[in-house]
Amino acid sequence: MLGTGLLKGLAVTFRHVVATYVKDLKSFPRRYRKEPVAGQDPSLRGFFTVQYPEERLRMFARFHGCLLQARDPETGDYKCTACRACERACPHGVIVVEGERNPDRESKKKMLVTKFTWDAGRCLFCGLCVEACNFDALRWSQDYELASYDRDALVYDFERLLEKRGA
Amino acid sequence: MPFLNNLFGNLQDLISSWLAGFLPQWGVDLAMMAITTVALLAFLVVVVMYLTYLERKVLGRIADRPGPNRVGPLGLFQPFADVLKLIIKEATTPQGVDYPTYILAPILIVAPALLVYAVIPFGPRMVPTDINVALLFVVAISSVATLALLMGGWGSGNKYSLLGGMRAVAQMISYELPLAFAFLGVVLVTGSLSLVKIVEGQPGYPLALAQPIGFLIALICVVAESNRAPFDLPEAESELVAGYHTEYGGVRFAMFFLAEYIEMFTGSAMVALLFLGGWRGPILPPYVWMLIKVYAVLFFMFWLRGTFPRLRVDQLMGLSWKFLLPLGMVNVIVMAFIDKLHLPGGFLPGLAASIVILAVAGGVVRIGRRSPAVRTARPGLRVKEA
Amino acid sequence: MLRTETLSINMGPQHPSTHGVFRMVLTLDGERVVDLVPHFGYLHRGIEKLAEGRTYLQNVPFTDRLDYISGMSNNLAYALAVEKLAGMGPMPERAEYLRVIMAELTRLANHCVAIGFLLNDLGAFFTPVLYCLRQREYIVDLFEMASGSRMTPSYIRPGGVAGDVPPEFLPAVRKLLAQMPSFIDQLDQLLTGNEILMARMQGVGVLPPERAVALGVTGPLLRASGVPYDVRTAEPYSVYGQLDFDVVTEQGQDAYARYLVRIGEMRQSVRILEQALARLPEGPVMAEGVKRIRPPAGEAYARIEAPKGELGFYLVSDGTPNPYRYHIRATSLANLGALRDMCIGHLVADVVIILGSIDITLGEVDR
Repeated sequence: MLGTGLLKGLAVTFRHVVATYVKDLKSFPRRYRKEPVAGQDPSLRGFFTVQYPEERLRMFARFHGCLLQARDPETGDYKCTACRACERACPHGVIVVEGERNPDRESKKKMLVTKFTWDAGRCLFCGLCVEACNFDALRWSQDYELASYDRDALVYDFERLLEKRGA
Repeated sequence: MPFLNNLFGNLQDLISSWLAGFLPQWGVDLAMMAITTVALLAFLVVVVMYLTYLERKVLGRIADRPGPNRVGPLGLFQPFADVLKLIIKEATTPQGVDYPTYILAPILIVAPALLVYAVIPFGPRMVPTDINVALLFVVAISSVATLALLMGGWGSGNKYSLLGGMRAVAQMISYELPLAFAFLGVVLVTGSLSLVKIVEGQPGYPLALAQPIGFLIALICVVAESNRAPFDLPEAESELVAGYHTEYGGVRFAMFFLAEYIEMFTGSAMVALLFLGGWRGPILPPYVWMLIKVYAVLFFMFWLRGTFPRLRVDQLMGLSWKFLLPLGMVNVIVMAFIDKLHLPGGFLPGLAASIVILAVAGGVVRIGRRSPAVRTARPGLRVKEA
Repeated sequence: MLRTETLSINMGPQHPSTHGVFRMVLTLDGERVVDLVPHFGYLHRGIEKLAEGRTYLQNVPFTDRLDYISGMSNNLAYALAVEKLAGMGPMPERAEYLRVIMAELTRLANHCVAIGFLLNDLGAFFTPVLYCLRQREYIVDLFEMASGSRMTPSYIRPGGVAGDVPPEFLPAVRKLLAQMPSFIDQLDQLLTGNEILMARMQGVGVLPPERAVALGVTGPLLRASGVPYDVRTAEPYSVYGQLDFDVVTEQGQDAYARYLVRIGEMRQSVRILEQALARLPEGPVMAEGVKRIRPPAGEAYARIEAPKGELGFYLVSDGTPNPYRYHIRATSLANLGALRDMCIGHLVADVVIILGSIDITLGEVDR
């Protein structure tokens, strides 16, 4: 019959409208999801959008968020040894590392980091630096809210990249 | 609830009796007219503002998202934000415009759209004036909007606007004829052009069942008349010429926008009055039924917008002249026969006849598509070997 | 006789419909297109030159950004080219199967975007786009699970894949595959029989098969003109030779046929994914000794069936860790060669549809 294609299309969109109301009613009166999920379930129908900032999705473990300099959980000291493997691996020259010999001859760390800058404004977030690090010092965090009003504020130094104590 | 059922009639009596206390009779009449006009305009403007909000909510829900929900609770203040934005925008006047035409076009497009509501009844006593050629009035006044479109396109001094305006005018004119034929089918049955009498003269079932072809044609034409999707190529963004309202900004554009939504509401009201039984219905007060039916038709229009792609202008015109108009004519003839023969069964003869007509029409279209004349007439279509 | 003039119109770089910064100068006679001159290069970033200063491994993130809608496919083509150049032997089985899984997921994601944005140009107010983008979200979440990045994964490397997939990946893929056929059916129901769509797309942008082959057009564009050529069957790479699937071909030659080819390819991708998941072996995911790639002097060309067509990488090495010359045979650029032929004689409103049905990404065209 002429027009069946149009009617079938109308049925599809109508089902979506009904599905959003069904889902709305199921979670009434709570409007926002309480617990953040990582990824969404393909078999669910209804609203798909996430009401940011009240609801947030959890990122997956490997997500390329902001760079992080890890601390050794036992000593609490940073793991970075200024070996410059990340600097060499970066396709763009976004990481700049400088180190000096540790004056303390007893400790296990041979080199101390004097300068470690990462330019988030020019970074590709490709992850080659994290893969190149031999000491498991450079890692990705799950933070994606990196926007700033000032381009200079996007250049992170070592203190900002260092993982918080007890984190 | 007799008071609520006749709410506006009662309010009218109350106010006029209060006014008669200190005004002469002509003063009371004048004051009642003024109050009715102001109330009607206020109602319309608010309804249309919230129509934009409803449209965005419905379109959002079709696409699995909530629609506006940030401005105010549930996003209910969104229309105010939109209106504020349009009002505070700078309305630049380009250099080559024909000033009187350019300025008059937005005014001339809103005025007829609002004027039509003088005769549209929302209940048995809820109509500003009940003239006995109300249907003719509505169709005639709505056509003035076509003139305003052309003025807008021509007065802009931009040849692309003129092209867009001419295309929009052609579209509106070609869809008025099938609409008139659809309305004619209803007038045949109810025997009057007055909208109040049309609703009262309807049988106990909605005329959409007895004249489904007329209903379908009316729905399509009403969508096309207000330049809504899927017939909105003249004002689409992905079209090269941005249409007749390119050179208008700020409040002037708001007028075009307002006129489009008012026409949508008018069209839905006409379909609800003529085909869905107007204000008739059990239990609830009549104006509530009327609003329910109007909003049902409006939901259908939003639904169409969310689902279908656009028709190209030549396909649009072809649909109207080659499909809807012959169908409307056949519908009027067949419905006239059925009405005069006084066949029993309520809406069943009409329904059966309409199904037969639609099947025949479908067959004709199918044969027409296979004919070589049609195939070589299409641009770019190369008839494939083997 | 009336003397008429042709009108020259610019569909400029910023336009709500062109898929990126792409400019077309149309010459119109009334409403009909008489000539079309495309101008591109607005997104040229010099990837081919930049590659000469970086090692083979450092180039992998740049390949993501070519056809940014289908990131994994570009990685795959580059990895195959480098492996051919360096003369690496066969890759570990698990790596090959993971590559196929990623490539087919990319094909699904790309076709979702292609169909969605074609319908956006046609005027369906965002609804099909949002349905397709919702589906693409599930796929892109899978990419994030595996590689950490949704659109620019850099996951498929020369020598295998960057790392094994996390344990939640395979159940998530299975869950998606269980739902994908019903999504494609829903898209079919919404769009394929739609009379308005058929009226807009049938007969629009006709490309006869001889002309398509002469212009070097590949991908769904070629297969919709009736030429059943697919690199996965013509010159099988990775483990495609062991998988069972059909090459979707249509005879319509117009935009509607291309749409049908894409829907059919989505179904075939689901079929391939199910087979690949069933046959996924255990094992290493990276070949041994691929830390520093230093291929001998020579040249290599590798091509794959990217979602948009045939994507090829031509690499010349002079023995150093950096490539000497690196050229990309971009699918969208070759397919754009057909644009002028397809548009002449049509109305202006059709040009937008034809461009949408070719499915270009400016990152690839301009590199």
